[in-house]
Amino acid sequence: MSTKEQRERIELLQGTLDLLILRTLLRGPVHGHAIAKAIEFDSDEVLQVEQGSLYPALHRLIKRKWISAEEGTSENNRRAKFYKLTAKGRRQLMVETNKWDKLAGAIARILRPGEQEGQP
Amino acid sequence: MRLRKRALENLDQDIREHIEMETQDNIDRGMSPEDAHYAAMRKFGNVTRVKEDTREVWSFVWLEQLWQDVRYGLRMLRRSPGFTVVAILTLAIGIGANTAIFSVVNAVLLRRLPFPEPEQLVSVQLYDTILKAPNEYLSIPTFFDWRRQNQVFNGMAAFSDYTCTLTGAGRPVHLNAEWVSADFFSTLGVTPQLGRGFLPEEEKKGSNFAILSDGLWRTMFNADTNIIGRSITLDNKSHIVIGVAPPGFDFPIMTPPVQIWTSIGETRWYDVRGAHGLFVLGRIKPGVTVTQAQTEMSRIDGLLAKEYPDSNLRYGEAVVVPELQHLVGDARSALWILFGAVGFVLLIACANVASLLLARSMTRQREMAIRTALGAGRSRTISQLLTESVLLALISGFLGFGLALWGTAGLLRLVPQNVPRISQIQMDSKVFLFTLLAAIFTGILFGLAPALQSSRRSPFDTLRTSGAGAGFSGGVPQNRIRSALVVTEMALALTLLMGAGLMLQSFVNLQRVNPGFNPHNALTFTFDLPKNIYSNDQKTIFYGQLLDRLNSLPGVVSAAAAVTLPLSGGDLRTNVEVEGRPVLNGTAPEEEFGVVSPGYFKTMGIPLLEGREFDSTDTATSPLVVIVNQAFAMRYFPNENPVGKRFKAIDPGRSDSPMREIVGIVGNVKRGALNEAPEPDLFLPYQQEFVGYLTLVVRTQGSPEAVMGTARELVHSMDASLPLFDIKTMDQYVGESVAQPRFNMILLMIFAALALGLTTVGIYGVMAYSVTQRTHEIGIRMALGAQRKEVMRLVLGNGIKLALGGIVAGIAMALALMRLLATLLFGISTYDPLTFAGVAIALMLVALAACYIPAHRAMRVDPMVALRHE
Repeated sequence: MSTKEQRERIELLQGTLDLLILRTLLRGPVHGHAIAKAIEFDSDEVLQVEQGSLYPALHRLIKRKWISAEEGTSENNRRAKFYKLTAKGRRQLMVETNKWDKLAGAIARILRPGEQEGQP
Repeated sequence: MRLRKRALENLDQDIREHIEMETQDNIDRGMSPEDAHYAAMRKFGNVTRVKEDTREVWSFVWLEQLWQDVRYGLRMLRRSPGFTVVAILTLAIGIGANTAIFSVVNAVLLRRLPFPEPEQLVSVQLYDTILKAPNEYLSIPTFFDWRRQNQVFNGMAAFSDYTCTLTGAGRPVHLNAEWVSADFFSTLGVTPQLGRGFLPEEEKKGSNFAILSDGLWRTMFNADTNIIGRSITLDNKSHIVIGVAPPGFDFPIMTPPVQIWTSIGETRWYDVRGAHGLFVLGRIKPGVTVTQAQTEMSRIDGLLAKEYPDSNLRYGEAVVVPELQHLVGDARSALWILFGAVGFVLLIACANVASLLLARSMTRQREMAIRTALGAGRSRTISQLLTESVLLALISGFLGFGLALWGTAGLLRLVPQNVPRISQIQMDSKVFLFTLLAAIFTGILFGLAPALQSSRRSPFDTLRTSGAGAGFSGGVPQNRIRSALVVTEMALALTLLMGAGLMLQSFVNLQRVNPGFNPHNALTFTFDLPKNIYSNDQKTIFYGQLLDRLNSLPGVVSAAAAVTLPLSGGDLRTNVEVEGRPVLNGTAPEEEFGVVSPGYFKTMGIPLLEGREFDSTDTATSPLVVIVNQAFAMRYFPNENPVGKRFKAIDPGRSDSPMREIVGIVGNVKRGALNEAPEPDLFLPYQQEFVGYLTLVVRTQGSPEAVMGTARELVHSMDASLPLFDIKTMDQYVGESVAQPRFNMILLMIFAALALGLTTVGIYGVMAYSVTQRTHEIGIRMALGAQRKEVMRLVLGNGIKLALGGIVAGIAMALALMRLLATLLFGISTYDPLTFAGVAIALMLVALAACYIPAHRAMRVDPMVALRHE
């Protein structure tokens, strides 16, 4: 890993990982490794997830009953645990997304007040 | 639960699969299988940590971890028995001492009064606007006014101590009795176990009803349930038993406890507004504060002062204090101070153990580094180390509780019996809870610094350096902490030594005080002459005859009688108006007076300074006479000879009190306590002013106890039905009067000794350890030509630096804290420079002695051995 690469990548904010996992699972049940890949890929590899940190997060979500886990087989015929969004998780994703939009908007307004004023 | 189990199932496998997938991806991207695996591992992060964090999501983990830590901690403690034993003993002493003192604090200060809603109970007192002090005693008419006019109390009860003789139930018995108003039991919220409490009409003048204590009912009446309605004889007057108090009920608290409650209707001062004899207890209405109650009562007192200026003018205000606080009184501040002092001992013990732990953590550095490298998070390491220290503290706590059980037995022998509720010390669940909390708090306190320290170190540095070299990394900040601990310990110890030093000197001063009389070889006893058999005249004749006979007993130097004896706790007061100096009604100064027999001053060894003692020529019909003490003479007749002067000792029961002529002046006597300043006293002859009873005092040639038997026979030969009580020597009275200061002093001395011992061990430990640590350095110095003396000076110098730091900090702390002792000290300033200097020097010497052994060892270091050691 070069220094340059490191500089371009951003460490995830506390708590945002949960949101990203929920969003990823919206597309259907996947296994842990695939979630990590998806987050990396979808963010154009800007977001760097230490893949291990995914697991405590997944279990946190299971405990809150936002997702569920079931045994399945991966693309290359390997046994793997698949994670699936629950109805409760779907609702939570909306709530969290809303919250995130508000937060991001607010922070953006603070950081770039000029640009905001220019918009209609 | 099932969710948790299912989710955690195959976690290891899930992670392995994940890493394999990532590895496969990497290989697909063209990495060599080996590189691919490492890249995947790096990307995944710390596997152990991930597993732990994941498990932690399912909460119960902390319990499992705790259990793991506990088992591991026990193993570690077993592996270094020396450390474990020293640490546990140190802490057990600290926790044990704290538990013992807490059991006293709990019994006396904290335990609620054993009545329903005890926080509503308050003591209501008059406030003397002339003396600027509360007056606890109230007259019955004023009490009735209070009770009728106030809006803030749900109940108000008055009570007054007296003693009486119970006859007709076997041998005559002397009883501790209490006159009470009708609402006494209802205000306290207590229902008799048998019968009922007093009815309002039963407090009318001349009423004769009685309620027995459970103890009296069982011992004298065989727990007879038919006792209610029966008549018993108290002071030869028949009383109807209306109730039996529940077992354990003792109010007001007295030693020995009150045995019978009768109505205030019996008192002879029932309708005398100037006769102050009642304590008043109130039950505040819910929602009313103590301050509001005080305002209300002051308002009423203001009205009464206008209405009855003769008796109430000076009492135009009231004071209301919570009953518990009133009951505990002076013992309060002393106990809190002792509790604080023993807390210091525990802090010192903590500092010592923390210091030991720090030293031990050096040897465990590699263990910690390996744990961190294997993925233990910082908080995990800290929690494991804290578990170990709390475990250590808990073991010590249990041992300490045992020590306290044993210690309180000793304490009970030492405590002054006049401290209320002290006899109720018990090691109950509250005390145990205290021990438990103290242990946990202690464990965290002494474990925190070492735990934070160990976990902060970088594992790489530790693992990279090996062997003895590991001792140096992190050694510098660690030594700084250890030094800080020693300085703290010394400061705490100095403060305790200072407190103990001041208390000791204060006690010695107290012992040196001349009480104004000779307490040795003086026996005292008393008895009650029943009112209905003996008229006042008959009583004075009885005492006269008894004194004559006592005087002629073998072994008796002289005998006399008086009420009240000095240091015996009673007091009588009268208002003084000197002839030719009229005062406004109700504002005449109040002085203490005694009633004495001829020969009293000679018998007590009180010097007669001028004039004469009372003698047999002073009779009821002869001119009225009085003897005053020196302080009285100084206050009322500063520049003249008082002998021959006249004044009135105002009797509130009489409309006009007669003038009395001063016939003698005697030396000042300590009446209430040895540490009091001389106060004016006056003495009246019992033949002219008899208050109903006298205490006898017999000056003996040999041991006072030897005369007791014959004296008792003598009294019984005159009236066989008289129980003798309060049989004590004057030495005993003096001893009891200093029991509280003695208790404070002994405890502070014990704490200071513990503190000094622990601190010495602490200093020794730190110095010895630093010498061991620096063996290599010392070896190099000596190889380079340093002299043994210089090495010794180096080590001692370090020790002195620490000691000086501790002493300076300690003096600052002591200066700030010693003023708390001010009220407990006598004849010595809280800033006594000699004590400060003495304690500082003593502590310095102890510190030097503790440093000497390590310094000596450093001096003996063989440079060859030291260097090869590396």
